[in-house]
Amino acid sequence: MTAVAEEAPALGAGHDGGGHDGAGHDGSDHGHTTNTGVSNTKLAIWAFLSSECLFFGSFIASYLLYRGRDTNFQKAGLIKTAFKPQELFNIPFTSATSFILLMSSLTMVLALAALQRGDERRFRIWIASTALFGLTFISGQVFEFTEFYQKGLRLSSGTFGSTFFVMTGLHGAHVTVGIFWLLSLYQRSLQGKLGPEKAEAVEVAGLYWHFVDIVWILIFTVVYLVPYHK
Amino acid sequence: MSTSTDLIIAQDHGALVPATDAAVEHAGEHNHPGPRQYVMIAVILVVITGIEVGMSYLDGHMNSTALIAMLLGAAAVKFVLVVAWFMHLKTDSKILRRFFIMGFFGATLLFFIIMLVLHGMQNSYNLPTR
Repeated sequence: MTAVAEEAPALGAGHDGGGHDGAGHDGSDHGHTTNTGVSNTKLAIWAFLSSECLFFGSFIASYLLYRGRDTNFQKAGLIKTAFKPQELFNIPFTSATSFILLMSSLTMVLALAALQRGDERRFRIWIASTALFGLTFISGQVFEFTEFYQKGLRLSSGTFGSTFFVMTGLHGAHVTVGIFWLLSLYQRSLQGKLGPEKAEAVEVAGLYWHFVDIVWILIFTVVYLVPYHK
Repeated sequence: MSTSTDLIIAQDHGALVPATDAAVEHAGEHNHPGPRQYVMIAVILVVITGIEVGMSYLDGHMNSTALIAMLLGAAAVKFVLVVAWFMHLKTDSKILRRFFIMGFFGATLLFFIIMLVLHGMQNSYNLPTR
């Protein structure tokens, strides 16, 4: 078998005498290639995402454990009101915001593909669209939270209120961080500091963004779509 | 696994050097899907989401367990599609796949541990059950 590569990863890490700041030999943004053949930056983001699986996994587990139990807590006199999620949720609205977040994943990969081709104008269009979609999703979440708050649901209302607000709120915080990250890439591109040779910087941001999307795929199904006990 | 006949061309030196597994995997990173494939995946994701939302309205008209299993199955398919295609785990280095699978199984394990611990605590403190 014969393979062609742009560089010789077989050289691995440490052959250059060390002291690297993480940049590649050609001044590109490719994180210092390790002896695994993968850049440090990519390994780092995957390690981070791996830990984030545990982070969100624990919140989803807590939510499921207490799902639908507020009625019993109310009967036991532990809480005043037991909110019924099926009466609070607006499924068509949340489906629309979920659709928008899903589409933002598409625009994100299109942005990466455009930058890898060297089409910086299209890259900026797609990355700005991704940030805009993210912002729309967050606006939808703020609207939903406000509606729930007006109906009396609080963080301290019971197990539903606390687990729902903490889990979806932390997800929203992740989306917000992602929006700032995308806007910083847009800014760098405008300044001419983000060419095809620095596509890995966009790929890493994209991995984070897609992760936020897959977490929402799970939350949307588990929290909104799976039926509650009547 | 590389053999002695495996070669990789290092363009910066213009010389042939033996390929390692890592080098071959690195070459695979440049094998990402194209925009057309991305759009196709997005269309599939939208269709599955539409089916999911439609299924959620079947609550009360069909067996709850079957409905939940179908909804979770649809979410799992969407999850795998995004991870494999949009996050490039299908074509990227195997070590990245291992990283993610490790985290995912860790999360699943943690999920069951939390369920077990909190379930045990619930009985200890005599909290009401469903």
